[in-house]
Amino acid sequence: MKTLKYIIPILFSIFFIACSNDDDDTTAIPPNTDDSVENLMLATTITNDTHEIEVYTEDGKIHQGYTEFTFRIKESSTENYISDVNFSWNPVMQMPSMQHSCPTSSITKIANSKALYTAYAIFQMTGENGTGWTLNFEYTIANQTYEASKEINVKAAEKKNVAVFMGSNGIRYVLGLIPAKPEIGINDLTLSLHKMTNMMQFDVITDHAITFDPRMPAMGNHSSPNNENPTFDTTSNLYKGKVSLTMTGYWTLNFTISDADNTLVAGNEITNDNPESSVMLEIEF
Amino acid sequence: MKAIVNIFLLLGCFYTSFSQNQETPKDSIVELEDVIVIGKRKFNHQRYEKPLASLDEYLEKSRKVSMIKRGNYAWEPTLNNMTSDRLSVTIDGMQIFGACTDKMDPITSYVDISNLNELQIHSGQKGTEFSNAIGGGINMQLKKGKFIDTGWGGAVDLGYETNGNGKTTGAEIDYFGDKFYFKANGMYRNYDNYDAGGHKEILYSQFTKYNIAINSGIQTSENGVLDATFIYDEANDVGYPALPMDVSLAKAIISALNYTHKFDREEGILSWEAKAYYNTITHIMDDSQRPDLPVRMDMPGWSKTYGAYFKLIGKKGRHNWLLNANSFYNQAKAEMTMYVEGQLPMFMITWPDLRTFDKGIYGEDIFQIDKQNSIQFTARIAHHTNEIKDELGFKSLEIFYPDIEKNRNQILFSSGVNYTLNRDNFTWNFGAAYGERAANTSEGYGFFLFNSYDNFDYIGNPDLKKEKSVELNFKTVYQKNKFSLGFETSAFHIYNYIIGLVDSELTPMTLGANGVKRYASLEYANLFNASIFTTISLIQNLNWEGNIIYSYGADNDGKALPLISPISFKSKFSYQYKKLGLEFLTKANTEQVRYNEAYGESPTAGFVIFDLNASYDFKIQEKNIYLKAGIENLFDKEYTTFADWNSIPRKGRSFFMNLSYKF
Repeated sequence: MKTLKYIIPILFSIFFIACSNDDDDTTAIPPNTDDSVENLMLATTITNDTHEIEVYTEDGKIHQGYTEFTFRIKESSTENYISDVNFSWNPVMQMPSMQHSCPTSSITKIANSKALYTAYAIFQMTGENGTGWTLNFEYTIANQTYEASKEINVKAAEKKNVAVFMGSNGIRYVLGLIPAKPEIGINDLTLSLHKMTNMMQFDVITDHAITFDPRMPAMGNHSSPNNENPTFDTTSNLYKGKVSLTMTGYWTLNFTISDADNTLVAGNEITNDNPESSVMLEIEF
Repeated sequence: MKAIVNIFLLLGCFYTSFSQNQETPKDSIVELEDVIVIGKRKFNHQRYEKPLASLDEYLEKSRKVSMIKRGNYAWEPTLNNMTSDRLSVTIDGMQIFGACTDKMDPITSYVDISNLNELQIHSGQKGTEFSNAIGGGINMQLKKGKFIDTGWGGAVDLGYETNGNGKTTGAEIDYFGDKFYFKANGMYRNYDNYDAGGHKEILYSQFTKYNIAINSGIQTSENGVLDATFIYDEANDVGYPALPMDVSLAKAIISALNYTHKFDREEGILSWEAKAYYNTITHIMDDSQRPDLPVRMDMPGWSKTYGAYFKLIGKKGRHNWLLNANSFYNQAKAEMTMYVEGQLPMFMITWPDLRTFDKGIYGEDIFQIDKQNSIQFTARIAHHTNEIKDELGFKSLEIFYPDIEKNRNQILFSSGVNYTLNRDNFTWNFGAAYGERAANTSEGYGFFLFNSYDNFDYIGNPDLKKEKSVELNFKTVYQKNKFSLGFETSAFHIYNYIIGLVDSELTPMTLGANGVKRYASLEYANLFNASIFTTISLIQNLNWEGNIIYSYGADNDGKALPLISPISFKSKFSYQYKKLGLEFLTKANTEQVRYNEAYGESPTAGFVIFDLNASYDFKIQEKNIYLKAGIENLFDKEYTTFADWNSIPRKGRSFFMNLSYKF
């Protein structure tokens, strides 16, 4: 039993190192703080003349669709983490003819932590090899404002986990699937829904009605019963419902979106002739 | 009196209760045991119409039993027009449950006819000695050795059948001492696709089956016998023309240890018997033999049963009584994995590792009022529990039944009374009974089980109420010399009748299925059957047996229940001259006019088919050679019966020949 005490941490570290090897940006986590980042991996570090911003995600990668970030910032000169920062951020995609942002949450301090901050972003598109997406930070420490930015890799999603669509009302929407570990049975389904107010501003939609129909295209496009349509949850600013998955494999989630007046603005019901909604996300497990 | 239909294979003849010729004992328990001793070392299956026939074929010849076919192999027996869900089917009192969610492996498929001594078919509540049932019980009694001190012996059987290129080979070797015996036999059957009438090949109707059975016993004392049985049965490459998939492996291991103690006395406890058993079944379905499927599918299933019983038989005054305390524990698990190019495998739990634990006690008393009148009481009470062990299976069912619980407890009760009067060559029999049963694994806990009979996916229902049956039966037989004529009828009024009902809210998982059915309880259903049967000695050595059966089944709206037979007729002329035997058989069904499309039925036309066979007994140097040949479906009629899934036609003309050699 005693040897286990040593073996387990070694195994853990091997595992982490092994994982981080496939992305150059990630390195081992510095342990010099009380805050625990043990379950996280460093995705990148953004530096300017004065500070280093460590960007953590669950697996050390930034994914197309929903990615949850944890940040912490240290003073380069003293190596001290700073616990009182006022952050704002804006991921920006540079395209040949224009640039745009993506839905994000504001950066908030993690409760009971000293210097950890969190936020999520929903990247509508991929941007690999350091081209495309840039993380832009503006932060205030002791009434002084700083800026930092860095290009990042946004890894393509294997299954469609974010949908961008134009509603019949002329509004452009972004629907994101918050990742979960699906299993056979009744699963929580969490979604984000934003509207694009302008290229650089995405606002949370609170009053729309979402219905969905899970389907399995490979097996006769059959559905499942006892699903619960997602409704808006004010504490998380996300839509929460339940999805019944009767078997493993590839499922499509087919949505309809109706506005506050209950007018259908996007998506369609599934019929024999119309096996898929125009607003569709995918699950495979 | 036990109103049993007995098939005494050991005597070498096929009996039903109406064929009361001179060799047939009246069906009382004591005489029944006498019968077994007579047979000793005779081949027990050789004088039936077609020796070496599969067990399914034997069963089908019974007046009460008809067989549901999904192919050429593993037919499912029905009794009183009820399928295995409502029957108690046991092997030597052992509970054994198939591992196939599509009922492709009724347990009759896991024994070979060469394993068996006799089949005991008990209608209604008289068939509940080993478990609760509605329609009755079929107990397949295994063949055992005897302490007759004849030393070594053996037999070889060879059979060939033209239709389907069917080859059967069997061998038996045994040692019968005075305190010890050992017998072992093996059987191998290999069939290709068969042809329906008109030389239409039925694709995917092939099968191969091996069966090895070992039985050994020792006389532990003057009155005690300890014996052990082991059966290994394996079928491979079993085609199912009525289903979209085949069986690559159906394997059963059946083992039992049995002790019987008989007392030499006229009154009190006459014998007791204790048995412990274990059996395990693995059943693997796949569609690898089928061409061009968009989805490839594997469906393995496992079923294991542990059990024991303790049985007392006694007599006190005019009471002949029997008590049987028994228990079984079954584990049933099945899953399904589907593969599509470029996607992760699709996996589903179809049976959630359900544990069924049943503890029951059955009692029976036959009270001989006087020489002519007797009355029989039967009762069984059982505690029946289910537990879902597989977590994913539980979560799957939770999708359909959010309030489902892992455990379920039920008490099952059944009871019956039967009055018999023998007077002036007439036997009269009146019976009434009440019975209950719990939903089985598929009905209660199945998950997307595809039924190709009605082309629906089925979802189990863990809230199903107990099915309760009220049964009335009547039988009368007139017998004089070699003539007998009888009439028998039984009626069942079944409350909470369990059946799949279409749930139009749900979409089917199986490609091409019509929809999804959920098991539900009808308020009630009625089943009725009546038969007339006769045996006539026409001239010296020439006998005729015939029967005609009417069946009726209706749900609470008066609509037809599925799988109810139309009027059927059977006839057999048999002629015996010295060692030559000749038989001419006719089987006919009327057109099925009552059918229910909602249960996937389509009308089936009437048919008449004829079989002809001949046998001869040689004796060469004191050794026996037995030869039998025959033709089945003489006129190569293309026909299908109400019980054939997807109306796959049955076998066309077939010549068969069997040779048995005993040493």
